[in-house]
Amino acid sequence: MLVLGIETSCDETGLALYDSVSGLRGHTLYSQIALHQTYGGVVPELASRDHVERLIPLLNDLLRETNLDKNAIDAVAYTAGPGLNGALLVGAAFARSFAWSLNRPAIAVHHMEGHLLAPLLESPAPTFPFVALLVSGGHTQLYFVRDIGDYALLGESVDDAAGEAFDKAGKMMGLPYPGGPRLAILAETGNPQHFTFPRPMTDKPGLNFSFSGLKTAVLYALQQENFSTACLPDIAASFQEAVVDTLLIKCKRALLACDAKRLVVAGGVSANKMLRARLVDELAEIGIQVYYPRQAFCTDNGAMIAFAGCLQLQRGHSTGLSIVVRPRWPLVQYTQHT
Amino acid sequence: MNILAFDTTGESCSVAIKTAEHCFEKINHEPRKQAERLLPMIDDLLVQANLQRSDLDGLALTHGPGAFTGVRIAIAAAQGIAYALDLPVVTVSTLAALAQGAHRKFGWKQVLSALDARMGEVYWGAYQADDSGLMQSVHSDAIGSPSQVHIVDEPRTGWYGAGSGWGVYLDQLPPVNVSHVLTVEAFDIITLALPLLKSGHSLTAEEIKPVYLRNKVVRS
Repeated sequence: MLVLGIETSCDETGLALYDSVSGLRGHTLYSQIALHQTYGGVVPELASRDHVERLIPLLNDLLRETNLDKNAIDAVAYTAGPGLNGALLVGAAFARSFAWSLNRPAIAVHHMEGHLLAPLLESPAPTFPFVALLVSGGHTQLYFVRDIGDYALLGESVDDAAGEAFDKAGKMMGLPYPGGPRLAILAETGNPQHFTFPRPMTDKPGLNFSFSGLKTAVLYALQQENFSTACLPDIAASFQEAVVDTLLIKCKRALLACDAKRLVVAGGVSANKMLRARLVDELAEIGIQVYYPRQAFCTDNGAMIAFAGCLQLQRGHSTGLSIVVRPRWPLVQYTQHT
Repeated sequence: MNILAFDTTGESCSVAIKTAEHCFEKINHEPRKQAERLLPMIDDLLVQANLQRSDLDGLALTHGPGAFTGVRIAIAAAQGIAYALDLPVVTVSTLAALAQGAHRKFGWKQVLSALDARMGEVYWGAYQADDSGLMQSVHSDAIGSPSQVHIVDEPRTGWYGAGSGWGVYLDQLPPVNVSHVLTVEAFDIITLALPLLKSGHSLTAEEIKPVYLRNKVVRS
């Protein structure tokens, strides 16, 4: 079964073709980072306007690169949420109409399920059960994944997502948009011991996160009397260390609670080199294997949607003709729904 | 020629199919339900018309102006359908389709179409019927305050108003007779699009573009 996947939930237009037998055939992506740079954040209306211009050129590229004809597509998967309402609607309206026209089934996919299953596109792929850390600009969540569609939420951020904290700290430090990845680069040359930032909520039991206080700690560091721009790499390194420590502590706690031997890390922040290295090294010491998607599939992409959609379709699920998107959509509700 | 047309740019979802002999039409007035209703309505109408998807020869739709999200639902759905079925497409102005509806229902030959654009503004355009009964633009569609809307051509009399803008800004718009034509009916899109489809003045799926008119969407 050849599945076209379409992702438009935020500021990336991603398309991909996944084949249930031969695997991923190809993927195309357009990132709107430059479009939103001027505003220091994603402007929803501009995001929607851009998605609607990109879909067909990207689909043309995808079909050309894979040397496949549109009529070879057996089903269409699209992100139905969570995300920006207007942006989601563009991808959903296009995908659902395209599937209807070809008389093929369509499947509405949960964006976070896409991220969660993205590491299964790699080889070796993790086997079930595993603990999953979804860490991006919009989410910081821990799940216990017993099987496809069986996701138990263990904990999540009560305020800012980790990626959001990275971006906001970067912005406060005067780094160009998007601040998070720039902060991580700056951190490479800094001393992570120079500043002592809190490891929020690690002194209490439980698996929830809170990152908004870390921002404030960065602000104080920037306002201290002997601050100079020479401190910036140290602030960045100390901030990153605090976030990574916090994620690591909670992951260990979750793995222990679930008696799991595998950790899957996905979402935009899973591209962070320090996070990757430390999770792999320090969890190996306690016999835990860590799995990541390739760098290109850490951030939003069509491949994870095509893949998750294909798995759902194979389980007999499909979505009717109504184009419905869910900007707020807990993953647990989605699994109960399907 | 079997033509499918739809409008999702306003308060309603309207779909029509025209075959050589008949015209089939459906309209749903639930606000903000256009995306949910569009494909089921198209699917039902095809069954009524006893047509397969592959029997369609052309697609017509309103490309705006209107609610931004509604405009994009129309454009993205049209892209998906036209791309999959290799259909030629004609897009028409929402304001032209409104004027065409007013002409069909009341025989009016000169129509000022105005849609509420929020923020104290209207989308508006002036249309006059040509000899074959097609409403032609005599003032480019524009966005502006209601006081900017004006009768643009001779004769100065015999103008009528159509569209939701008249419901909101009646006292600020020019003093003309007003109809109760508030929303687009897809049948009128077909009337406007058919000559263009027949003469090959159509677009491919890739060439379909939304028309927002309001392009300053970020406060700076």
